[in-house]
Amino acid sequence: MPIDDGAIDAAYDVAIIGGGVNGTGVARDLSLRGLRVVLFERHDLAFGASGNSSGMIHGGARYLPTNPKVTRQSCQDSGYIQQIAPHLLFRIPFVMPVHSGIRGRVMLELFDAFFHAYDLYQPLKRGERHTRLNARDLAHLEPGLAGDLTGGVTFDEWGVDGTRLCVLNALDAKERGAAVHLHTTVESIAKAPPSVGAPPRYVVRGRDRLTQKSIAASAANVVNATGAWGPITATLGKLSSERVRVRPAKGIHVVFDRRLSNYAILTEAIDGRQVFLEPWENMSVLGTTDDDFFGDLDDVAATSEEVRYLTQGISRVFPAIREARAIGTTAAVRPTLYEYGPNEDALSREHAIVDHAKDGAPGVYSMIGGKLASYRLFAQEMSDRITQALAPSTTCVTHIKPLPGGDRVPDALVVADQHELTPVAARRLVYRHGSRAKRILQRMARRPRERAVVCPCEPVFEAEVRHVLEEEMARSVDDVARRTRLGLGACGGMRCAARCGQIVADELGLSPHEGLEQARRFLEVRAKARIVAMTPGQARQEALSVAHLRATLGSKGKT
Amino acid sequence: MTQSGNAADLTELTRHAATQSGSVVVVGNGAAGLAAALRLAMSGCRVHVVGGGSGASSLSCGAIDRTPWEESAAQAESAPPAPDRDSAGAGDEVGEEAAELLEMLELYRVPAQGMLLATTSGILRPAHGADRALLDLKSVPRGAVLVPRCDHYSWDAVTLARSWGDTDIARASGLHFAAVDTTLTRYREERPLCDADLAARHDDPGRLGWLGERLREALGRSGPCVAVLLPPWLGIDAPRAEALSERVGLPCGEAACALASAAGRRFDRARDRALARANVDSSRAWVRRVAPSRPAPGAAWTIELEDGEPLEASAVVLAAGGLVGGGLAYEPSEALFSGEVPPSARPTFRATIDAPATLGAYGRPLDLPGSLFGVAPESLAWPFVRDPIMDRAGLLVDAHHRVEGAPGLFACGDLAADRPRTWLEAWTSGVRAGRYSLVASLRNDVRG
Repeated sequence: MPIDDGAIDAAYDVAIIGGGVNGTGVARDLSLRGLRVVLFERHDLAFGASGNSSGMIHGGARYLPTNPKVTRQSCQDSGYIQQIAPHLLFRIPFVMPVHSGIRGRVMLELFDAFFHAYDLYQPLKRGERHTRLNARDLAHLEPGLAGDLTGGVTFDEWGVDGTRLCVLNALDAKERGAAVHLHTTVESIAKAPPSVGAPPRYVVRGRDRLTQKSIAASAANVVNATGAWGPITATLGKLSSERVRVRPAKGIHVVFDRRLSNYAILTEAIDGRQVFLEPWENMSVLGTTDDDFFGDLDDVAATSEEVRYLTQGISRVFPAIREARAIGTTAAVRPTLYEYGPNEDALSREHAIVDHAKDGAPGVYSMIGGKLASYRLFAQEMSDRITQALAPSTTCVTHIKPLPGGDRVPDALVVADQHELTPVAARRLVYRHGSRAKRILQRMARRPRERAVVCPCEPVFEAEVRHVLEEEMARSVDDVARRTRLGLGACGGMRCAARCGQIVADELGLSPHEGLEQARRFLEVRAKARIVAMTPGQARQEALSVAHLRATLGSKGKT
Repeated sequence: MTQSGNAADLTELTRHAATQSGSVVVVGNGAAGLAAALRLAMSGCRVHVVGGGSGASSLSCGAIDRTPWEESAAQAESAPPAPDRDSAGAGDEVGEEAAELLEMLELYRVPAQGMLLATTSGILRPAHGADRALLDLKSVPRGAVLVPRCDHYSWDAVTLARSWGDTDIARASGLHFAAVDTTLTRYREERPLCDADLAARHDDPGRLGWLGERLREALGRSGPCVAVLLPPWLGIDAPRAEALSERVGLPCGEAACALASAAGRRFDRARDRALARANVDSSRAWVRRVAPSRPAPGAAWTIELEDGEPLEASAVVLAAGGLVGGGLAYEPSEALFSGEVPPSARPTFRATIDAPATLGAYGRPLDLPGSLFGVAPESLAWPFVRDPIMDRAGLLVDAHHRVEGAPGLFACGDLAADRPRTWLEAWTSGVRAGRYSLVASLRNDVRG
């Protein structure tokens, strides 16, 4: 690793690279332990896999046969996450329908026994016990199911908004003194000039991609938590990318308007892989694929081929999916641990910490792998490693201290009543912000104009847009959408993007022109994510969107 | 048929029109269908309009363009503007007719120099013409435009004024926009109302007078102004901008907004009035099928409705709209089955009316896709594709809007392939289809 003797803007204990759930999780953990932390993120919080996952905190049922310890840990941690962010988790009951025939009857017995074992861990995460359903009960509970089904098994999991989870972790870190630099790409990691007898320090240089301003931070530790970008990040410090090699695996989801089913439905795709359709927040999510990825990590998008694979898989048991309206897709690349040879699903999603002391850089670590459900544990492991040397007397408290808004969450219906909001608007607001919804409601009371609904689909008030710009580090229309789900609903941003662009410009002191440019870019990116899953009803909406865009906003040419 | 031969035919046959009993059914009552119906009715032809409800015209923002404005603007930047091509239909063989028929709606202006409109998305954009309720910024002198600030969710005067002011065209025209506090909603209960409902309230002269007083008060508090730019609230029955301007003493008008706008509703009202004045029969129905008649005297075509007795006509103009209007549907095979693999491949688009016409784009019939599921949607639409098939697919017609191989069958507006999806194009194509269907109706009538 080279030596950097240039000027430094600020000194920290730990520099974290990556604003996904691993990076923000470590930032919060260390900040809670009193360490001075700086975090760099090239895009926005939850830009990659963290914000485009299946949105579940699952209990690790898949590890039950091989490693029940992992299942226990996962369930326990799911329980912890419920305690620290009760507003952000919602129950997702699953059903696995089983086809008739000898194989089906055997499978039903096996599933029944399997989930009987899983039931033992459910109390750790306030989960319901499984039930075994006959064909009649199955049809009664989930009328959308079709085909020759002999019965099914239900089990219980929890859903989460992965983006909000990252935002809350980063926010908490920031409020406890961490510096968080978003849209800031790291350009070099180097050793600070050594001083005799002192442990080595590192210099991390970044550049703000929106303002082009450079920033340099020094730290005793550097944590590379950049997921699938991990090997690239390692090379910035002239570390071998070989030791942090991941096997990037692309996964996509198709998002449908409304909740289409009572249960999340788990079934098999044509190649025998599991696919599911889950009611998630106010929509339905169909997932997921798992394919080796060789493309550009900054520009990952679903293709119509992947959409067809998923639709075909689920239509076998839930044919109504063909009439449902797809309003978008998500795509991301998982940082699966590297192992050449086995097919994708056989790979472990487990995590590992790589200590770069072996590469001559003691104090530099890479976090490899991991998943949303175990983020807190992984962050704790990483933080423990760092504090062994820096602050041995501290302990982890991330499972006890609530995340911002996670304490004394108000009742949404009471909020609706007191503030004259529709129950839906109040519920969505409280879901996203927990007790921090109060801050937004106070804004609205102070400035009634901010009661204006900017995004009618979600819905999102002007006060919330301004809140996330002022307090949650959003810096663009896209960032606002990620934090509030503005523009991600049925109208695809047609009704709200321009207005949001105007507010962004106003809050951040940009020119109105730049605000509208952001809105246009947002609409274009959203359109691309929708069109790959275009259905007949949606095609009509697309034609209308283009007409609307042309009429009132215009785009630079047609592409 | 040569061009000159055709023109001679046309004159002769039009002369006969008043005395002959040819009849035409127009399917669709948007801009294209309306233009065709009025053109036919003016020639004394019996016309029946069958409309299924709101389409692209009813959802339009009130700006009317011949070509998409961004393309015109881009061309204007790269090449000097051609002399006077902005007025409605100039240079077109039906240009004068189109302009005269447009006058009958008493709703639109198409000044030769074009117009400049403010939109509720915060930009200033050129337009060939517009609904009379919209403020034409091209016609106001340099100076400050008052933007009244009020308590309504759809109208953030402060940011809109800033956004409009921050455009090259505003700076070049010497326009700036001043947001001034006032009250535009008269009752608290009005605040959650949508734009079109508020527009309906301003059809009442008393209410319009109240608005005028509020604006005069606001003008008293502001510095000198040259015009007033308002939310899209100025009437549904008719545009009230001119009446308001008289009361206020300055040009007043709306900003353009696209969805559920008052402009779309005003089109609907103006259309219904124009059809009634021209004694055109019109009914609300969906057409299922248009087919050549079994030998029946005086009729060449049978129009089957979803609900009701079939109609007979000597010619048919299809103006049922494109994807937005419902004349076209995106229907790849994957959308039509619920199993695992579609039973057969089919073209990506379908005309929702069963008629002996060919669906195509880029001047050729649609191909069968190379996939049982359908083509990849990425190849169909903006922003993946420049000039995408979604903007072009329709029924293949010749320059006279005739459907090949089906004498007496015409298609216009967004349902015709390869035409710009703009309001004025729909209008002039309707006039053209009206003109040539008249000829065909007489021929078919004679044949019958």
